[in-house]
Amino acid sequence: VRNNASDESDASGPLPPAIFQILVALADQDRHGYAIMQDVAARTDGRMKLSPGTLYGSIKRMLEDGLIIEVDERPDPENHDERRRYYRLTKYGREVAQAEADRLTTLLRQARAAGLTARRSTS
Amino acid sequence: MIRNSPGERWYGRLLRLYPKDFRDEFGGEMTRLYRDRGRREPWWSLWSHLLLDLIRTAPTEHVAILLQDLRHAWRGLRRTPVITATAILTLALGVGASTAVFSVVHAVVLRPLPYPDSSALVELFESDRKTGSGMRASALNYLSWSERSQSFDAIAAFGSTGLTLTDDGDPEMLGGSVVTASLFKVLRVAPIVGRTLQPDDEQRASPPVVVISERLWRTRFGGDPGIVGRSMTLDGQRYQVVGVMPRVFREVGRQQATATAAGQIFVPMIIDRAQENRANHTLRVVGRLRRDVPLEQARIEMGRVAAALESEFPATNTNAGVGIERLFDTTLEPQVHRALLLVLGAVTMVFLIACANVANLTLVRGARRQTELALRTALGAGRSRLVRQLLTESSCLAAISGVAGVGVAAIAHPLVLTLVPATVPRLEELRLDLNILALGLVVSIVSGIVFGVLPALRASRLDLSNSPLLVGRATTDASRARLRQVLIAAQVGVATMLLVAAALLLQGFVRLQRVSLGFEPNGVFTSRIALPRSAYPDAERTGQFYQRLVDALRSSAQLRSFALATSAPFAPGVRASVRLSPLSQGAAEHIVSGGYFQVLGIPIVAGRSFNDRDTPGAAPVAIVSQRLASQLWANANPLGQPVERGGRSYEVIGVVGDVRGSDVQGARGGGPDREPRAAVYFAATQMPQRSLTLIVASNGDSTSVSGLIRQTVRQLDPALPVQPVRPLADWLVESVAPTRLTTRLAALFAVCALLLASVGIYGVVAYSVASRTKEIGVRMAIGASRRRVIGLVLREGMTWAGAGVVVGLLAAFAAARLLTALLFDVPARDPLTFAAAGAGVTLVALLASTIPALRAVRIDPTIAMRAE
Repeated sequence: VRNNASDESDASGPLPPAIFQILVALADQDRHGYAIMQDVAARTDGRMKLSPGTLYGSIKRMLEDGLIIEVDERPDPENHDERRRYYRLTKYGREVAQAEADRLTTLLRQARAAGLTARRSTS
Repeated sequence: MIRNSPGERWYGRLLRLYPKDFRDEFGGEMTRLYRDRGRREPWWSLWSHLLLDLIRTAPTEHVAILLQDLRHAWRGLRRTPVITATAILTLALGVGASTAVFSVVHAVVLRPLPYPDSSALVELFESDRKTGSGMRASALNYLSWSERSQSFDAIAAFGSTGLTLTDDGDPEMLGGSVVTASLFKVLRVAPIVGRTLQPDDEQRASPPVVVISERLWRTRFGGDPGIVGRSMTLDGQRYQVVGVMPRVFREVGRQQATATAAGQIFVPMIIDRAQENRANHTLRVVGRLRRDVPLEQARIEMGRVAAALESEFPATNTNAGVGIERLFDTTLEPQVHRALLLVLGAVTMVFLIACANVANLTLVRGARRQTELALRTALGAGRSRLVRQLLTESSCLAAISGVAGVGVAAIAHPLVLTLVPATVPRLEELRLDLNILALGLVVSIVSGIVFGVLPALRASRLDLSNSPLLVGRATTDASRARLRQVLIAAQVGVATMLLVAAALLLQGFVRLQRVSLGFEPNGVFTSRIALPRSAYPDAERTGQFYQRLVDALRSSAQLRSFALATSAPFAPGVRASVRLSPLSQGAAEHIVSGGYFQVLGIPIVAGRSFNDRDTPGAAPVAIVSQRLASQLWANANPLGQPVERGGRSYEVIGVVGDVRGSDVQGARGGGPDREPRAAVYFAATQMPQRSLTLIVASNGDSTSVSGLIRQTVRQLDPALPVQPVRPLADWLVESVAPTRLTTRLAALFAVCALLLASVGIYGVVAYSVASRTKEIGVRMAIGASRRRVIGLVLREGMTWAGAGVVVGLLAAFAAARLLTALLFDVPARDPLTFAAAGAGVTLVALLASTIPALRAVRIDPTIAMRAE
């Protein structure tokens, strides 16, 4: 399974934005689909709103590739919904997210050095 | 319980656009997401977002599954390389062969004639009411038909001609047709350049004009657009070119001109009523039915016309009816038509066997994978998911086979073309049709999928409690085994039928080649000589030329004998029929010189042949064939009897042996006549002909004979073209070419069918041995002899193959009547052939099951029992 994933998330190739956003959303805690969507929307000021097909299509592939797993434990026992499905980052998923973040950092540094970020710092 | 809102229900319905697996997994989550978002977002924004999402992601999910299945399929196919390769090869050969053959049949048999509204076109001919046989029309009868009938938009007459072109370079003989101007109206073909012939051109006083073919225009005139108005010297006369006709315009109907030189020029027919004789049957007639007139009505009307002519001209028209057939039906010889349909039937059978084989192989493969499928079911794969995957696999297989099949067809096409004799009409219309290729591709893919669905459905009907995982492999699905066996029986049955047909055709062909023709073609060569009207305007000059030619040839030591005649059997020439009064007996008419019977080795049974004393001024004489003699005078002595032709009486001076030519159909491609035809011979000296076939017997070869004839003719008239000299035997070979082709193809397909069926038998028996390894091991461990085990396995293969042989023989027996017309001198239900074919198939089936049987007895009981 890992082999499959490494084909796509190798440091050489960029990760699809939706997958990276989901990885980031799951980095601090387990979440269900709607929570992931809300988190991504909040972090991008509502610019990236994951639609159901994209969200679950990505989740399906990430499950197959071993980037995330489905968990039975609930992070917030007070406020959880029994029927929702929660997802957690695997160790491998964390590594892939880390590698992607490193790649983006490098890219950003290079862009700055080339004087590309002067006009718009957020995008 | 929360009640679903209408929006939620609609969204739930739309989720069906996703693959079932995806829906099962995430459908509930997605609906929940919809509910969550619905609380916070306005409905229109939410729905536009959702619909867009649906359109974008649903296909993606399907493609993802497809790719996954394709990967699985590829791996699965590679895991069973022998089965996969066999299935692909089988289907590809089936599709390729049937596509190639179908393209020929389509071009020659099925496709409508290349003329506008071609179903209204008919051919008219004179028919002998006594024998029912047809013959060409005389010019005067044609005119009468044309003037007295109401059923046609137009009718037209035409005949073959050859004119010598002497503009520059060597004189060249151009084949073509003398046509009435109405032919262009009947066929409705427009010229590429210039105009067609007009009624005015048919007047003797009109300046001579010619319409040329597209081919001649391109080869001789380089496609010159200013061709109209140029002149050509034909037979020493200046003709003005008035138009160029496209390729499709040529002689049509039965006895189509097939020589390469034919159909290059079209000159107007000038009918001189005063000179014509109704007994002179030389023209072919075609017509276009009026839109509102059915064929039957035209037949009735022409029947009335014929009856009127019969009472007006009893000397020539007694017993003469008018036959009308659709031009489409008369274009192809019935013989060739039947043969092609037979070949199409055979190739379809091979294709069906191929399909059965693929189905069988897929079943065997499916059975092998039962364990894998059961395992996946146990791990939670749904039935639809498995079916989907199996379908992808068979489509994959089918697509590969289809592409390979199209490749086979493309390769086979030129081969099929070389097999088809050039005398088959309409062949020039034949090219590998893209539509037919596409059809072949679709057929192969559909058949591949259909024969994949069967096993897929079976394989998916897995019950875990009964799965081989738990029970062990010894439990084979009984109905699946039964299906395989029925398929085997069907394959063997079809192969048996084909083998019977091929064996019958083969025997017929052998007899055809051995049949006594009544003449000796070996060492005989023929060529045509046609004297142009301009240089030889009358009988006297024509006669003088041929007399000089005869004298010159007589002095040559190289020739054993020679003769001049209107035609030689099987070689091109003028084939005419004549009605002999007073009995109005139809006969083939030959106008020959005295040496004709000697050069062809036809025995003179009584009386004498023509000689130098039979001059134009002497008493008119005739020679009859034995068959004609017995028809006319039964037991009386024919010598000295009179026969009347066109109002003139001829005395019979000799009786000669019967000749089996190709006169009944007047066709090339039909082979020798089944029965010799009654024939009458007249003296060439008394009926001078401008065009004659020169027949010589020589010990030399074509080249030396050709040189001699060319040199001799040059010395007599340097402006005269000499047609290539060909051995008479070549023409004979050409005439049986379609029969040979049918026989070869039938044999080829029978062998293919037999091979495929034996592959099928082998596969099924081998599979059965493999799946019963343990059982066989146990039997051998407890003392079963090798013979017993072999018998056990053989019985398995042979029971159903045997049933197939029996069914195949019965079917062949029932269908034998269809073959009768194609068989020469062999009964279609020849018991020996049936027995031999049945035995042959049984033997092959036995061989195919022996190999796995021998493998079975090599099974080591100790290993076999540990295997599971």
